[in-house]
Amino acid sequence: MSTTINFEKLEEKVFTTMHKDGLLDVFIGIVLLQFVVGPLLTDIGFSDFEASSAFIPVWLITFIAYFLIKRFVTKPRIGNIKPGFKRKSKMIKVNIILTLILFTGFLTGLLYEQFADSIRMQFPLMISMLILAVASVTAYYLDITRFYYYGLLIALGPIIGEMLWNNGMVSHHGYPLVFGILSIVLISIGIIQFFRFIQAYPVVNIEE
Amino acid sequence: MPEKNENQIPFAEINKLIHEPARLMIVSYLFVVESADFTFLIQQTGLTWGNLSAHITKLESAGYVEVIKEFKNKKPNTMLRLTQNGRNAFDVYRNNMKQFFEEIPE
Repeated sequence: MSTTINFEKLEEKVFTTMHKDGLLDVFIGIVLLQFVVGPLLTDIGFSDFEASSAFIPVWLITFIAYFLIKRFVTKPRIGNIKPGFKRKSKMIKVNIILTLILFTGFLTGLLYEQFADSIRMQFPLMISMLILAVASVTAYYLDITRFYYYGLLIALGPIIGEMLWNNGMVSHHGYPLVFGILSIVLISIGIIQFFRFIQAYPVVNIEE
Repeated sequence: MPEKNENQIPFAEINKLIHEPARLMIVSYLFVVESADFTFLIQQTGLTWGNLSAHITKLESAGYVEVIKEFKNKKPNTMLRLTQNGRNAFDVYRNNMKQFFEEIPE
């Protein structure tokens, strides 16, 4: 029995090593920046649509940068693996569950459009539940423990923001403040992890 | 040749090729993935390229490891995979070791 547990841990270690570079943390932090910059752009005359669209190129550049850094910095240091059968089936499960959750999120968005007045108070809570579900499923299936904490912190964002806004302490439902802090925290953790990764895993010269 | 005693611990049944610490590490890592490259194994095991290469050659000769040469982003990349024969041998090794330790009195 103990043999099985050890091998499961070894497999987990192998898989989580691939995410030790902190790039995912930076990526999520940059995604959260939309909730900081977007509302502020509306203050200087941009429409809601324009403020949201303005982030598409930023996301695109971040996405491309993520893959380029993975390919040219991370992989030459950590190497390549093809996961085993169990991990592959875990990945399929996580993709199916995340698709279902995001579809629920899409339906929630449609509901909000139709019943905006009656569910206004519950909406931040619904968004928080969705964020928590996505983060927890990802953390559970990918064995990345810190995603539980990220999920919890990000999920608390809309609720805390709404509370602050209801008390007249902040503008824009508190999003720029709450998500601004979260974004800085996540990007900082990611950058620190990235430099630790670079130090821990020097480039290996292979004689092919 | 002395007769086999039932109370004797079966040392001879332990696969010496796998039992060597560096090779045990290599086989353990390859056991939990479909395949991995040299860089990955060097980083995880702490072995040098030459050392790892020598152990892989021995495991390959025994038919436990398959060396797959491929190109990744136009650069040669060697992937290493535990063969079915290697997986079976490792399973037997694990069971033998488990039995071996269970038979040692407290």
